[in-house]
Amino acid sequence: MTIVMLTVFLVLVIAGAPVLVAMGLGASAAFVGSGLSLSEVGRSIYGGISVFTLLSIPLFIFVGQLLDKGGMSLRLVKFVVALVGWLTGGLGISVVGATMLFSGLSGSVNADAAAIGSVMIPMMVDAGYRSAWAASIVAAAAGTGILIPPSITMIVLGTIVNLSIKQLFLASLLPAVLLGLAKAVIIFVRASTKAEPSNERIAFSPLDVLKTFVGAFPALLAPGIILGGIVFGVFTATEAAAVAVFYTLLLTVVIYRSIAVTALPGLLLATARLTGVVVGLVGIASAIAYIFAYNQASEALVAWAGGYVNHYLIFVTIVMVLFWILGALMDGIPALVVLMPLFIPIAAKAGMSPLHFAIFSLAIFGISLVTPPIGTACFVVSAVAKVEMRRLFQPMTPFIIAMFVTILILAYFPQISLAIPRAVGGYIGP
Amino acid sequence: MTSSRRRSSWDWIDEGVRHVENVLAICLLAAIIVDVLLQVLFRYVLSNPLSWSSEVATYMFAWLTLIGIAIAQRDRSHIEVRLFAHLSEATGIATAWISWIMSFLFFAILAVAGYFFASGETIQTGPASGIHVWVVYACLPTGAALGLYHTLRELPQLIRSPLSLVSAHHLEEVVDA
Repeated sequence: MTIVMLTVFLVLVIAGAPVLVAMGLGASAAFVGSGLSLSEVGRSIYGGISVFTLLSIPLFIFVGQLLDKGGMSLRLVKFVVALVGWLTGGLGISVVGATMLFSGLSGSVNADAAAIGSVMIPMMVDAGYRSAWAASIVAAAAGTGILIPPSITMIVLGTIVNLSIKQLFLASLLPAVLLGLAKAVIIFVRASTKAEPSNERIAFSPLDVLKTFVGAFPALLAPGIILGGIVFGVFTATEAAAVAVFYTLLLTVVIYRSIAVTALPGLLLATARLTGVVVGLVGIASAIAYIFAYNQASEALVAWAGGYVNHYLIFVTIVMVLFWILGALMDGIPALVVLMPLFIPIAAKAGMSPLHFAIFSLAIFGISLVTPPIGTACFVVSAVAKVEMRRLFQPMTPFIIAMFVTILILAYFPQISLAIPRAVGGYIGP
Repeated sequence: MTSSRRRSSWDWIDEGVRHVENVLAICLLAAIIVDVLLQVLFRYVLSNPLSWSSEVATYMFAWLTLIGIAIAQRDRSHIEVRLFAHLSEATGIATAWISWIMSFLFFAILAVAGYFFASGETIQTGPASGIHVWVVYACLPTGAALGLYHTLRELPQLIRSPLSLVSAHHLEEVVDA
């Protein structure tokens, strides 16, 4: 039955049906085929949606919208350019830094790519970057976004597989930095070997760094409130998100007055639409997870593949390739909801703890989202930079290789993911 | 003459549906924000936690999600992978039709499934709020019916110019949003 559902889903998605629709029809077919009633489909979808933690999703999206429309992404960019723009390939490296700061605010890979891309792609092109290279830098940088707290992807993941959101946030910090560094190194090497032309002339000035930091500080405080509130156990994720909404409204509408009150309904509506897209997928994916559990698919997978996972490298490689492809086809969040409950038992058998496996998988889905021609971030940057999709293959390749190498390192050194949760998060698992 | 009058009456209905969806979505989201902020205020500042706030917020969130699904269908914002849409005119037309028929089927099934689910729960109430749960569960058939309506309203355009439905329009929306 599991195979029937996956086949229905994959055929429909590839044929061009919306992902939500393909997953929904696949799930319905599996429910009926397993002898369950249609009303059970409704119940499992409702059950997947009515989770208090998931309320943080629209709230985070709204915070991101407010900060972007309120000009805060520009302030972040200015600060990061002042900080690292003077390096060889400095503007490209700034994109990586600014995206890491902004993803903490927006929680959406596509929003990151759109917000940072629309500001930085013209800057890079002015400094002599090829537009395809500039677009690729933005896309590659956005891919790490799902690993940077408070990412909505991590909130969904924590909800689905019962991992603490706080532990996930803490575990993601070092891997996210490592992935960011890997991309910065690629940009630096390509620029200094003249493989990619770049001609930025930005002088380093401590005064500029200080000035732009003061400008960006109020925006940086928003993820600070969220992270601090959750990590120190003051708030739940949803409460922290609501406080962040209050703070950013105060900042953009009252203090800076960069957003008019009359613009708020439009931003609320855009947030509601995106909520429908994201949480709708979570609801349908919960129905799929339910039918997997009902048919004991995870046990079947362990029984079937159990012989192969004795070798760690084989397990890691299979998961990397499988999750990479499925993640690109399904988009990050639905892939996560469907695959994680299925794979966590087999990962445990291969010697990967659930928290470590979660971070490892998120990093892979981060590659899926930026892989041309179907990674969603590539669509966004190709539209922003007006570059054809096929011109992204060559410049994206070094980034994708660098990300895979980094993920292999993450797989073989669990401490990179687990050290911080152990040290400050009270994590006691393996 | 008759056709233009019919079209204008459809426009009027479309406008009404759009307006109701927008107002509902905006009010629900604003109410969720206020509800959770009240929860924070009462728990941490006044040390007198509200019993009903997270339950009511979750109910509103379920409605917000289903209305959001309908709005995303209306604005063609659901994620699609269009591997073959731009290969040739024939694959483009095929993609448009497959996408439409499957969307129609999906929303129809979801509406029926949601109806069975909601109508099976006529007595139960929420533990803290006392709200009848079928009022909440009704979000499923309602959102699905709205999604079905928007799908059906696309049929004339699908028949007239199927290729216009698979152009890269949704990307500009992503960039706008």
